Amino acid sequence: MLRRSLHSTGLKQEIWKDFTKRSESLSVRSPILKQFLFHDNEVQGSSTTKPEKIGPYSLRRYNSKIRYKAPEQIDETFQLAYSFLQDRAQNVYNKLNNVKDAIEETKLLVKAEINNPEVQYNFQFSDKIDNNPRLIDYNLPVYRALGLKHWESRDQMLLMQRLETLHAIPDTLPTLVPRANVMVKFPYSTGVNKWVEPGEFLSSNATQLEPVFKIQEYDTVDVEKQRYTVLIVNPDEPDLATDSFKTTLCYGLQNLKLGYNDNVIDARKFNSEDNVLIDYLPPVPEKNAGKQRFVVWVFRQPHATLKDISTISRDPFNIRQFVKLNELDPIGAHIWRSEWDTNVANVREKYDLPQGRVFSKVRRP
Amino acid sequence: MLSTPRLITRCKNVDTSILTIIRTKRTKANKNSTGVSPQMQRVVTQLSVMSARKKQPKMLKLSNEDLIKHQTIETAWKIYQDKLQGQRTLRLKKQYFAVKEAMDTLKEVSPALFYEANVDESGKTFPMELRVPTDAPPREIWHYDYTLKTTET
Amino acid sequence: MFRNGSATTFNTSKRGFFTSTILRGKPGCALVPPVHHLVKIDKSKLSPRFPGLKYDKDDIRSPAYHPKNTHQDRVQEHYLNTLQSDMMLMNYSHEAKTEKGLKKRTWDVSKSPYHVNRPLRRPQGPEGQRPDVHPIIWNNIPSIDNVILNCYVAESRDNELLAVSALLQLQQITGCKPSIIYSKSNVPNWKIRSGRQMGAKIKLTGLPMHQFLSTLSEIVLPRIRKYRGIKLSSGDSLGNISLGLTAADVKFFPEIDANQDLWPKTFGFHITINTTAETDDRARTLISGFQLPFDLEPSKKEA
Repeated sequence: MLRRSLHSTGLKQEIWKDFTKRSESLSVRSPILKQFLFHDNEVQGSSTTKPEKIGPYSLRRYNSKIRYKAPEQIDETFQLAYSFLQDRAQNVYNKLNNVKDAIEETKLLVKAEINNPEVQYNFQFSDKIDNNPRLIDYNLPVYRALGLKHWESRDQMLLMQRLETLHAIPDTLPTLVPRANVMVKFPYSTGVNKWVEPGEFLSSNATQLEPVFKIQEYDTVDVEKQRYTVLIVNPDEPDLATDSFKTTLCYGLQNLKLGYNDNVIDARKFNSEDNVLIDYLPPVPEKNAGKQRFVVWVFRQPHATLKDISTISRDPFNIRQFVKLNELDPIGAHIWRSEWDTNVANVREKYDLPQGRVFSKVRRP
Repeated sequence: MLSTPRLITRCKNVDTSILTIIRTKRTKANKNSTGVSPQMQRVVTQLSVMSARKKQPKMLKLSNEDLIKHQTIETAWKIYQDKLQGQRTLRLKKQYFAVKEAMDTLKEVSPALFYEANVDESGKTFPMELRVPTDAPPREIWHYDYTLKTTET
Repeated sequence: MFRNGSATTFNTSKRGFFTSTILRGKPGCALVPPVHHLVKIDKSKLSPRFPGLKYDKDDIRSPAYHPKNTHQDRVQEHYLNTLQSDMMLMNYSHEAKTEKGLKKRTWDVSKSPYHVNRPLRRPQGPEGQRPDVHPIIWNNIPSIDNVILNCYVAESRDNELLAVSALLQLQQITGCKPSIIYSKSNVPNWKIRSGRQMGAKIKLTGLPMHQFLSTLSEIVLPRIRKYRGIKLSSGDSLGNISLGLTAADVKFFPEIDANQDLWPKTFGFHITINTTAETDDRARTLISGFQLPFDLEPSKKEA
């Protein structure tokens, strides 16, 4: 019945193979892979290979290629399913011509491509974080939708769990509605050259130079106009005057411009006059002061610049007041932890900081 | 599911002497000494037939290309089934409102006929002659001169 | 990490409504700490271990994957093509209203302040609460939801091995995995002790259910001598119909019939057909469409 309904559609329209209007990243790059996907022997540049004999392209070893047995009739059924889905995508594209609303247009663009096997192949089998824009181009709504789903499937939940269990919310800001994936890395020779998992303990040696951020937006925003603020705060600085703790500001960046693909924030991306709100002060916890949380907050700015930058104080820093004053919209966060270790003295010396206090247990009256 | 030795220990009226000759992992199979009663042997066979291990098929290992193909096929099938379901619901809805309209008209035109048409038929059963269609229908598809057999009173 | 606030002690014990004594084991406050965000967390997805177990059950990479729709289901097609619209038209009643079932009654609060928050009164008359009965329209046409086979073997109180045979018998007939029935209570007079295997049961849905129904109606029931059909008294008044098969009837199932030597003893079982119909009458109309006969003239049998 499926076959009958397909054949009755008449003229075959190959929208998913037409790249005059569609982006090149909506197709798989390798021509041999394409040949294996579509079982199409007329692809150029691969006349010597015979897919039936050699086996799937994605299997690397010759032996496993030889041994691999594909399910019966999968290619014929796939062709049928492909043309069925392609026809539906064509209808969506036709509908798209009359749509004016931007949100509706994004929805339709996702709907038209989300079932495209080439898009699915690109997304499922290539690096989603350090993405190659030729394969996963986050400028396209469909890859953003897939990326959001992938983020929500684990990393977003992990982040929110860590923020909650470490009480970063509500100790710094009351809550977070996560919309952007914030990643942190300390890439220098002293640092750990990997994306830090939320809540991880980092040595003071690793964090002595400023971190690199990657902020992946999944919402549809105006990339040219939108500016971002990044703050790192430490809510665990001991405050002897009040016999409690206070929040200090470790690092502040402002008016950052991000792209969907070009979104790594490092020293090449900003200059010290326009973008640095406050210089990086590395985590130098004092001895016996306990574990300290370092919470990264990323905000969308409503305006191109922030207000009252000159009056900002590093210690103490009232983050809630600052956010309220500038009407900042928190979209993402990250957290790592630090504790006093033997290297703190070296870091303090490097940054011309005074020797840290040493706390000891005192019997209360 | 109970494993065989446990089941046997749980059965009180089974001769406990056979417990010693049930083969476990560490005892060797010895054909001469297996004095299991045929009744017990039958149960052992029955349990092994039902064991989950025998029903577990080998897991399919698909290459990346075939995985994508499989997912595409599944998606297309789901969308197609949704489409069919939508068509069926629409057909039933149209049918329902057509009947409703006809009954409205009938009520105005002929109340007597309307009363006849609107008699409560709850509990009415389909005739036994209604068959579920098969792939292999009989040679004579339809009995045109069929009359219902009246049960002799 | 609660360092920003000082610790205070509360009296969190809870008191009863009518007494002033403290209720033991009842905390007076929530023990779950508050959550400050709206993201639902699935803990099983957080661990980096065992990625294979995180796939959905309908993903082919999951070990629990089971292929569905492997072949055409003619009984389902018969329902969709023929019975569905027929059922709608047979049950059509012009301008029918929803029949309200009996419901619990509210207390008149104006009469006494003690009626506030009092549990509702039971309905008038000897009957309990009943659900509403809606007229059948295009979106609530009855269908068969599931079929439950329940095989209770009374003799297995003497010989527990019979329960294993019953289990295998159900598996042979349906091709699905049954579960074991255990006796729940001790009844010394009947020699029943709790926790013993007393038989097997299985819930069939989808293709296996349709397969079973067609075997039952096309092969088994026609071969039973003097079978008059499902009794009209059968039914739980909520649209679920039951019938029973004796141990002799079960031998007509082709799976048992094919190798009778292996089945010296068979076990009868109860079949409950659960439908989405709201009344037994509607359920009977539906079930008769699957060639299951009903005993429409029960008085003759007695004569």
